[in-house]
Order: sequence, then structure tokens, then C-alpha cells
Amino acid sequence: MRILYLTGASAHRADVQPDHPVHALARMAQREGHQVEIVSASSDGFPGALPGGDTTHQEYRQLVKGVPVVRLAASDAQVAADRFGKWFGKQRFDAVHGVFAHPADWPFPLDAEALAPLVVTLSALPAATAADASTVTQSWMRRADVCVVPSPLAASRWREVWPESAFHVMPHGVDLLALIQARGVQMHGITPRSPLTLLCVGTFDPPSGVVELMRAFTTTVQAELRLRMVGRVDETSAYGQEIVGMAQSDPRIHLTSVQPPSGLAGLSDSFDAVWLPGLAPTDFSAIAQECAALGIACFATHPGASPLAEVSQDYVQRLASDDVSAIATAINQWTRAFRRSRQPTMDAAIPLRIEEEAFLYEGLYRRMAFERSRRTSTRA
Amino acid sequence: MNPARGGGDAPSTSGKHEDLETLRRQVLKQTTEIAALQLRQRDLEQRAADLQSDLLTMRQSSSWRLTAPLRALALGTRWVLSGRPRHILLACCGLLLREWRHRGALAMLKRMPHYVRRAGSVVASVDQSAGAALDQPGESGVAPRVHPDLIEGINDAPHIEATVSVVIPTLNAGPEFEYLLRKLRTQLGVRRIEIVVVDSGSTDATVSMAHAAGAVVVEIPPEEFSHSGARNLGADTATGDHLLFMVQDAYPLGDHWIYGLLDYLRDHASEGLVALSCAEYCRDDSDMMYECNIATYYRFLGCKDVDRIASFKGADHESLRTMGQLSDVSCLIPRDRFLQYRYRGSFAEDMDLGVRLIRDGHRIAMLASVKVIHSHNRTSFYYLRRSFVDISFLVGVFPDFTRPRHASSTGIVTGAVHVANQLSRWVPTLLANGAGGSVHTAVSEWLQALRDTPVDGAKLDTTLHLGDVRTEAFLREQEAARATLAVDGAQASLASAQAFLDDFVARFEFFNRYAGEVYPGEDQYLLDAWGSVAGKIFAASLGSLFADLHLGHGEQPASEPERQWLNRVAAQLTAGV
Repeated sequence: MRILYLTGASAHRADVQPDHPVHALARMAQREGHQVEIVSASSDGFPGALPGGDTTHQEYRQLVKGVPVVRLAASDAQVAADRFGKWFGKQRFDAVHGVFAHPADWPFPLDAEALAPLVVTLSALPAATAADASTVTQSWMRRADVCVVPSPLAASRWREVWPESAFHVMPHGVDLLALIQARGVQMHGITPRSPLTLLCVGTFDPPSGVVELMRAFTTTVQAELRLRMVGRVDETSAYGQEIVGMAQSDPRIHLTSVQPPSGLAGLSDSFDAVWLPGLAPTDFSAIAQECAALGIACFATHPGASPLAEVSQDYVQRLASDDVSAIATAINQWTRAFRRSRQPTMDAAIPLRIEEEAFLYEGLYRRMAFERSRRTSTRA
Repeated sequence: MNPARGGGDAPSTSGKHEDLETLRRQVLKQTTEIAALQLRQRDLEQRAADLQSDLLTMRQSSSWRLTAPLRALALGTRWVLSGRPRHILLACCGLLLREWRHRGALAMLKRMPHYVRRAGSVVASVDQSAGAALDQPGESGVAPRVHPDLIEGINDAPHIEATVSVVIPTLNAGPEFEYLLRKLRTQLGVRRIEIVVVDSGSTDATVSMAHAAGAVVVEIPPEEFSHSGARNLGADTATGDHLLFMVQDAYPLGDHWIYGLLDYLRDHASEGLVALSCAEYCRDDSDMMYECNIATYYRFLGCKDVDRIASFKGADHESLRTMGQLSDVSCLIPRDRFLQYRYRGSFAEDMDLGVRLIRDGHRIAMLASVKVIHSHNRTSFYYLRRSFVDISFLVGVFPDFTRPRHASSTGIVTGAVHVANQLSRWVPTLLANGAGGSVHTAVSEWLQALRDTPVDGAKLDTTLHLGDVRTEAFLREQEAARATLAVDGAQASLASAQAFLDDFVARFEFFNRYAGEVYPGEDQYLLDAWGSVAGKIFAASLGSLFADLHLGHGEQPASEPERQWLNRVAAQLTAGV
């Protein structure tokens, strides 16, 4: 099979790297012997090139761990769209798969009437943007053979706006092998650690409840407890300055101000539970999925946690972001429970792995190819 | 006392009455729904019977018979227009051209009977190649079977009323075992799943983890382990009406994996299907050699992209191996059926079971619509041992599985030394300087140059780069042993050395063609992968040709020291297998 993956700039990462969901799908398809190509719409003005196109830009088609990736510049939309259209018109793909937070992430209209089945994965809860009626969104939603969303909640939201589109629910897969390796998972349960470390990872902006978490943490008197904070802090804002000040005043808090990572694999194994500050409503979190796979406690705060907990109630504990006392209680309960038993629970469902996700998508491509050929033959 | 209800017996009794009444109402409602569904089922069955009857009448009509040639013509035309014949023709021409370049016209003429014998399976393999599989479902008019997880509403579908015992032999299963157990325990759609672990002396937490997962654990001493015996013991202990044999490093793909296997078995039971396995899906850490081998193997079996039901087609080794294949990685079979046959032997017990089943007129299946996650990243020394054992096994089991005779065992070593030197000089250069844009092209060019380089009979280089010190040590031992043996005639020695070179080049070319289609271009990942595969392919050639020597030496004159040497090699390569 020849499979083309299209992705926007904001699907978890701006760059297509090995931890990008599209890269995982593409490299797993390669392992099955399929030919793949990723085309990524970049928003940074990167002068991309398509294979066989302008030879002076060939260097922008690069391999990322064996997977061909082409970047297209959104800043020069018309030129890039023309080049993409010409190139796409000459190709024969057996399946085209777009992976976006939202169709508008792909800045070029899909003018060509592609023969290949088109699968669209919408990777986050659309919230207010589901009703977006831009030309791009309409062209995607009308042409897609099936739209895949990560939760039933997202499916219901999208169905309200696009009742004629087919939606299938499937979360993104976790890279279980990378997690096991990064975490150093052993057979005798979770390795005892002293001090226990709570990892807070995300974007530390006002509605997220980060300051409340830090206040709650400072009220806990446990000396053998640490708070590791990894995320972006706007130090020019009052909120950001408050976070930095609190981190400096409690030696148990360690703050690293960086772009938050999209997964746990890159954070080594130096944490025992994860705190997800909630900024915007979301029903999918790669980190929450990874926590579930590893059997690590995961807390999430409003407002972002609300739909997340609704679909992931098995492994996400939801808390109000402004209730310092409830947060402190949750931290204390967790530390007591963790010290009591570190054995993994055998009845906890494991989130989908990337291998499973890629295989299921392959099934969707085949099914859609069949449906399309049946429709074509019926019309003929 | 329940404080929420205000305390006291009377309110509590009243509350229970209310609960009971609610339950009664629910039961009544569900009974009504069941009755309605049964009615609907009967209606649908009646409609299906009517349609079947109509179809039969139509097929028996004279107009249907009269128009049969037209339908055949339409079918043929559609097949021709589908582009499939052109695809097959071009692919076959390509294969013939490669053979001609590789062997020359005279050798091709001599091999004509072989080509005729293999023509059917080659065409089938070509037909299954990329792209072709996509067209198949459309042509048959039947939607391709997909994994149950993709079926809308599968979570609301009724359970399959069956109990499945998953039998897993274990030995130090490692941390990933927890995930296999968790995945099995959370499988959906089957009434009951029992896990039976047969452990042969684990020193890690395998046994305690199995207990924690509620598995039935049978412990046996390591010296009592055999692949057949451990699985038979698990089957004897199991209580399910179906047995699902697995291995400790496999992982079910999807939440309805067992459901999918069982559903297929039940759907096709009326056609004589008694057992099935499913194809493997590579893990993210598999090596390219494994990917290529497994894809080639499934094409050989005819189940790369489609489910395949097989039955007995002939007693030749190719028919038996393609038709009679089951896999221990996942093998589902009704328990009573299994107990009639059981596993036997110490190697390839899964294929042996499949062959016995089809010989008795049963049918078995290999599924592509449902797969199991399983693959390896093996060392080159593993491939050396594995290819030695595989060849020895196949020759031992199938009388018509023939292998070439080599006139000179020292010549084989000479050929191996030559290739090892060339490989060890080329791989570091490739990794350091890059491939010039395409690893596939660079490898093609190097193989062409290697083919043209005469075997010089030089000694092994001081430094080797075969990717595994054990393979390198093995080769140095054989080089040292060669020095103690009588030297064969120059012509025989050269022919055997050339045979080694040809075997290596053919294997590497095959891999390079496969990988070149999937992995275009060049980056460090691909350079490392190709470089690693080169060492593994060398090891596989070495194992295969030593198996040939070992199997052949009893039938042709060989000196006593040579016999002793080859027996030592065989003992070394089969130890612990």
C-alpha cells in the first residue's frame, strides 16, 4: 500500500519527530511493508519542497528515522498549495490520512478529487471550533470517508455540526516500548523512591490551577515529597512571577521553564505521579494515556480536566483547580496509598499502543477502499 | 445499619422492597426486549431463507445457464482491465530478468523444471504484493473482514458464549509480561477467559505476577521443559472449551482480539475449520531483517493481506508447509479437538500439528484481519544458529526438501572468509561516508562489485565488522579448523567458495529489493539498519551452508577429521535449541 499522511503544524508538535503521532503511524506502516510519505504544513515560513518538484529545495524533504517527511510553508499558501496540488495530482496513493487538531490546521484546500480513501483524524476536542465553516474545513469534512476522534464526547460534538459525516472513536496510541524503557519498568512493581516526586507538566497559565497546586503542596508537611514542574512559564506576567517566587521559596519544588513535552518518555523516570494542569477543555491527553499504561496516578484540574475525566475516569482523578484544600488532601491520600502498595493492578485496561493504532487504521484504509470501489461500481 | 436510609429495620426492608420492585421492572423490560429481538431474528432468518431460495431458483433457471458465458466474459474482461495481469506479467518479467543477470541463460535453461514447479506460488506471491490486495475485496463484492474493534457497536454486541483458556509457557518472562497479562484480563466479548501459565523455573517475578493476575500456574523443573510437553501440560490443566496457545512475549492486538479469533473459528466451523493462528504485527523495536522475513513468509503462506483457510493439497514439502502452518505465537483450537492430537516433537511442533490436522481432512486458517503483536530484534549469531537448525529440520522432516551438495567444505569456509573480509571493510565505510543519497542503491552497487570480485583465498582480517562477536569468533574457529583439514582440489574449492558468495549475494539482494521499496533515501537510521542486516544475512548464509555440509557429509566421502569437525559445529549450533 502507498499511504500519504498529512499533518498540520499544531498536532502535538510543530515538527514531525519520532514522538509525533503521525510519525508513529507512518513508521509502523513501514514495518508492515507499506510505502509512506508525510507532508507537514509548517507555519514557520519554511520553504518546503515536494519530491520531484523544485530541485533547489530538495533538501527540505528529509528522512526522520527512515520516514520521508516533506514540509510545506503555510506563509506562502498559494504557491505551496499549487505545488502540493500538482504533485498530489500525479501520485497514486492507496490511502490518504490527515491528522490534525482541527482541519483548519491544514491550510490548503483539497481541490483534487483523489481516488484514494481519505481518513481524517481529529486529535482534540473541538470545543467552539467544531462549527468552523471555512472552506478548508468543509472540503475535508465532505471528502473524508471517515473521521476518527479520540473519544465519544468529541464524536458527539462533531456529529452535531457535521451530521452526515461518519465518525469512529479511537484514541491515539501510546509508545509502550519507549515508555517501559524510559521508565525502567521492573517486574517487582514500581521501584521505591525517596523522596516521592509529583510531576506537574503542562502550560502554567492562570486558569490552570498551578498556583493552587503549589499552595496545596506547600501546606503538606512531608519532607520526603518533591514537586517537579516542567512547563512554560510567562515570567513577564504576574501569574508567572508568582509561580517562580513560590518555587524559589520552597526547596522541595523544582521548576524547569521549557516548552512542555508531548509525552513522558523524554522525562526519564524521576516521578511517581503526574499532575496535568487544565487550561482548555480536552478529552485526550497523551500523558494521561501514558500514565494509565504505566499504572501511575494522574491528577487533572478544571477546566481542562472535565471532559478528560469523563472519558478517562478509570485513570484520571479530576479536581477543582481553585480548591487548595481538596488538592492538598488528594496529595496526602496519594502518598499514603503509594507507600502502602506499589503493586500494579492487573485489572487496569491498557490504552491502545501505537502498533494497535496503526494496524486498526490499516483496517480502516482497506474498508474505506472497498466502500469507495463499491460506490464507484454502483454508480457505473 | 445504613445511615443514609435513616436507620431502623422497617425503612431498610421497605428500601429492599423498592429495590426488588425496580429489579423486577428491569427484568420485565429486558424480557420484553429479548422477545422482540427474537422475533426480529426469526423474521431475518425467514428473509434470508427466502432470498436463498430465490437465488437457487434463479441459478437453476435456463436464462441463468444461457448467460453464463457472458458473465464469464465480463468477469475476465474486468480482471484484464483491473491491471492485475499487467502487474503480474511485469513482475514475473522482472524476476526472470534478474535470474538471467544473476545466473545466465544456460543455467536458467537447466533450472527450467524448477521454475515450472515454482510458477504457481511465484504468481500467487506477486499477486499479493503491494497494491494488489487492496483490489481483491472489491472484486469479490464482499467487504474485507476487519478487526472487531473497528465494528461500530461492538461493545454492545452480546458476548460469545465460550470459555477460552490461554496457555502460556514461561521462563523469566520479563517486565513486559505484566502487560500481556493485563491485556488478556481486559479482553472483551468472550464470556470467560482463563490464563494458564506453565513455568519452567523462572527466577524473576514471572510466577508471582501470574498469580497476581489470577492465572492457574503450573511449575515444572527446567529439565522437564519441552515446547510440546509444556503446552500439553497446560492443555491438560485448562478448563476452557477452547485453548489459545501463546508465547510470553506476544501481545494481543486490540480489545476484542480473542473475540476476533473465536468469531472467525465459529463462523467457519461448518466448513471444517478446526484451528487457526493469526499473523504477527511487528513491534516498534523490530529489526528490518525480521520485517523482511515475516513479510516474505506471509506471502509464501498467502496470508499477507487476507485471511486464508487451508486444506490438504499435496504431500510435497511446499504444499505441507504453506497449507499446514499454525503458529504457537497464537493458536486457537477447541480443547477436545486438541486433546485428540496434542503437540509432539521438540521443534516446530506448531507446524507438525497443522500438518496432521490437514492430513486428516480438517481445515486450518491464518488470519490477517486479526493480528498479534510479536517480533524480535535478534543478533546475527541467532540467525546463524536458527538457519542451521531450520535447514536441518526441514531436510529431516520432508524427504523432498533438497539442498545443494557442496564439493568442498574448506571451500565454503574460504568463501565465508572472503565475504566476511569484504563486508567488514565496506560496512564501516558506508557508515562513515554515507550512501550518496540512497542506501538501497549503494548496497546494489556494492553487491554488484562483490559479485565481480574474485575469491582470493586470503586469511580473515584482524578486525571484523559482522555485528556480533560470537559470529566472528565462530568464523575464526572454522578458519582455524580449515587449516587442519586436507585441502580440496582447487576447482572444487573455488566452486564451493563461489556458492557461499552466491548465497550471500542472493539473500542480500532479496532483502535490498524489499527494503528499497519501503525505505527510500538515506539517513543514519537506515544506514545503521542496513549495516546491521548485512551481518545478519552473512550469519544466515553461514548457518545454512554449514547445515548443507553437515547433512551432506554422511553421503559423500569425507575424511574422519572433517566428519568430526562438522559434528562439533553441529553440536555447537544446536546446543539448547
